Amino acid sequence: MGDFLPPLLFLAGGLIAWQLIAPTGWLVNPLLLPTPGAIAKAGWELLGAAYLGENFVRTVYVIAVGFVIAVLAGLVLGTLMAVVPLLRLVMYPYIIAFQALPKIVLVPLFIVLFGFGAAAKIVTAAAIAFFPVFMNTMVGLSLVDADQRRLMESLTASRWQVFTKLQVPSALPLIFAGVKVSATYAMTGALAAELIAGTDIGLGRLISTFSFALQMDFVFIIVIVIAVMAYLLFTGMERLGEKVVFWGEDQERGGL
Amino acid sequence: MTAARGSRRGLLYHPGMRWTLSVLVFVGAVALWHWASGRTILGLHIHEIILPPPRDVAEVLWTLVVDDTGFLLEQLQVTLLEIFAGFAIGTALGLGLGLLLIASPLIRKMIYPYIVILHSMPGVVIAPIIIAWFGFGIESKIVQSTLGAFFPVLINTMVGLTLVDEQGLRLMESFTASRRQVFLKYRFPSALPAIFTGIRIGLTFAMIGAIISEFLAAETGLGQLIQRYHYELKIPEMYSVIVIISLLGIVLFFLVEWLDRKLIFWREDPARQLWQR
Repeated sequence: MGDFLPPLLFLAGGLIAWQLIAPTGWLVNPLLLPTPGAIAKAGWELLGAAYLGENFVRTVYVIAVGFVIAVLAGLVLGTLMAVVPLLRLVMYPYIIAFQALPKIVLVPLFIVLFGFGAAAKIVTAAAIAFFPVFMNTMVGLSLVDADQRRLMESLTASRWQVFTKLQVPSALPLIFAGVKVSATYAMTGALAAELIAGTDIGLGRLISTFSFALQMDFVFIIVIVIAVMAYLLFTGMERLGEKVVFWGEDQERGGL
Repeated sequence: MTAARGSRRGLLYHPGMRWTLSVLVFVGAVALWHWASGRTILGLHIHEIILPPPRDVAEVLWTLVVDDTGFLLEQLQVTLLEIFAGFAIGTALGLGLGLLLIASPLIRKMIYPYIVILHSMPGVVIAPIIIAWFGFGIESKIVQSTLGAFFPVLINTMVGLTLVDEQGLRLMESFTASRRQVFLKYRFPSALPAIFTGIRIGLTFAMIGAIISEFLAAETGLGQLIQRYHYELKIPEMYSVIVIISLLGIVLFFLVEWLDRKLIFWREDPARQLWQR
């Protein structure tokens, strides 16, 4: 309980100060910085609105589909690059270029290619989320302990056995670290694309609509919804990681 | 390409061969793009407006770079300023707050949960708020890229300073090192690889922040240029600016990568050996 007290006090103090200062317009125009009370009111109103559900479901759908595509593509291509070194060496400049590329610049391109619907957003989420899984799969499967490999080979293990009994188990913690990062990236990609496109439905679209209308209280409440979603996703993946790859040391930040 | 194994393996893995194949992949990709533009594939018509042939894009790119150099440089300058100003401010703030939070457990306890929440949240979603607060000009872009750089630097500073080898600490203390000496000679240097990783990620995120903000509302800059060409349906022009921003991103990435190798020369990055054979 003692751990919760300081952050809660900080939050309460911050909210009270904000509620008192905001209407005076001392720091920011009250139109631009709604009070916590106004935000809560907007949240209540939003809860009653029929459109919140469909926008929320659409964003979750885009994140989920983009994430699954990214993980599958990352696993398959990462494994391919790990198993066929020549392919990896030939593709090297493109892999590095794709890693260096801020994928967000491709959003207008995806909108042109795939239209204003869900497809362009899914492609953006997948494109951004792809790299961490891909890179960590490739690195994890390629860089196994040389001594362990030699031991298995000297015991006449087949390539398949080395792959399934050594490479995969030793790579899994790193791969899962990549999957964790990918989940967050898929969310960023989906919301960024919805925001930039500013059409169709989704939470990003809602933010863009409300901010054009300068209804900042609604913008704030949706941002809070997204923050809660992101936090649940992040801690959920963390918990899942502890269960799935319980034997690996924590490889935070791998492949970023 | 699995046929590469066997007796010809040596030749195929020769560096010259490797780079020749890399170039061939590029040529093949451009040829595929050229072939696909304006063609119906599997019942899906790829209109030339959506995917203009590579020749058109190359021509427009040439015009933009050679004939409109002044205009392009002006846009580039604005975007670079946004990225670097935000990156510098965000790095300084992230480093400063990171040090403060490590130094003061009380402040850390108060705000760390919120940092975790804000860090896991996609920063792009607050871009409209930042634009409403700071306007359509360069300021909102700088704030957005500052936010981008801030969190990775902050988190990595804290992680780097926390995960310090205990044995080394004890060794220094047993040689009666002062707190200041322990920090300057041991804790901070051993946190440097983590901090610099944060700075590297920070530059990428600063760039993403600036571009997102330019996409949403801006007066000048490369991201704004992409959006403008998009709305005007000048698709080959849009493609060429995307190529330019991509190249900028790649150049910046290699710049920090190079700096990292020079400054954090003791860093062990196992992934680097993947590309050597």
